[in-house]
Amino acid sequence: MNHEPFETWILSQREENLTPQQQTDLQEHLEDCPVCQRLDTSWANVENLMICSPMVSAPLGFTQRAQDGLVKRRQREHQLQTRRFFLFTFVFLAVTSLALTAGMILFLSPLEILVNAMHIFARCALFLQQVENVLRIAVTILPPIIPLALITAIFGTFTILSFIWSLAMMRISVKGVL
Amino acid sequence: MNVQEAGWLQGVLKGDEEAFARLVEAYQTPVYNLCYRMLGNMEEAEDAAQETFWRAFKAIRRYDPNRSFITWLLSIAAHYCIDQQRRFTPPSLSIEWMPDEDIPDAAPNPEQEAYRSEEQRMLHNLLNQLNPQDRAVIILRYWHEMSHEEIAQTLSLTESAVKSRLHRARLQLANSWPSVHPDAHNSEKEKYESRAF
Repeated sequence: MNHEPFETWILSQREENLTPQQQTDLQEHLEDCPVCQRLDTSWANVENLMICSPMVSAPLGFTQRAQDGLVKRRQREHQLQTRRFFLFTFVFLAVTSLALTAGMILFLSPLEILVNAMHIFARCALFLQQVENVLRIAVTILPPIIPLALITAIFGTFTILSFIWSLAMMRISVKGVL
Repeated sequence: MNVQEAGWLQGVLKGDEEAFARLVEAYQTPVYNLCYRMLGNMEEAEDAAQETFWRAFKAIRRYDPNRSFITWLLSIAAHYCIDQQRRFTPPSLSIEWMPDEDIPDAAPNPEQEAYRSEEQRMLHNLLNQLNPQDRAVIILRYWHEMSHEEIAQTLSLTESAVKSRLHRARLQLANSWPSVHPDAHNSEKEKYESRAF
């Protein structure tokens, strides 16, 4: 026996209002069809059970636990962010260093690397010596107050930058990168 | 969403934990109910509901104010529960403890309690027969009284898919009824009278 559209009507009669003709057709079909009779009875029971079953409330203290959980999860998230940030920085620096080293080994012989390194070292030493000479001349030529002010300014700048850097690191470790 | 809730939402957008708590308080019942009906277990439902609110907090900037907030929240909960159900085999249902229900119960007695527990056991057994997405469709339709359009939005489905899933789930529930209800076979022998008339 064909159960359509009666099956659909049985299962959705609460939502879709059947016309009087459809109701008559359904009644006639139900009188002859034990399968649809069973379906109608079963579905009526199931639907009533669901309609009579109310919403389940959250257990007591749910909001408090959500709030506490939020604090903990945010902290954990920030810690993860911090770890990821430092790991990324470390990996980036390591990869860059490795790439530079590899590049040098590929394109230069060990002797050339050694000569270049010594050349750079010598230049740096020469530069420092030149700076020292300039400072000595400045001390003798300029009045004593100016070099002192300059030194104070340089140290002051470094102190402020170090303080800002410390604050940034602290913020990253407590609140995360973002 | 009323003006007060919109204010809380603005607070949450700024990272205000108090505003978040107010939103949780306002929406905990529908979210918890969905999780409980989906998972059939109080502890898992609590975890899922907490996870839902955390995910909502993280994704609050992506919330579209033109959309219903509860639909958005239930969408997160439903997807999470469906994923959980797909990942793990459904737990065997324990009905030793039943959570509080919003029933105005002035004078509870053991007989009523036992009857209610039995009803809940049958309901959970019935819902457990459905696949997670069909179960979500049924729960949203019958407990949250959502329209087909709202269910489609919540579960990221088309309206025709929702209708088709509803039909399939109803048929499966009706066919499962005799296996979960001890007296179903007897009651079928009683004189038949359809609800349609």
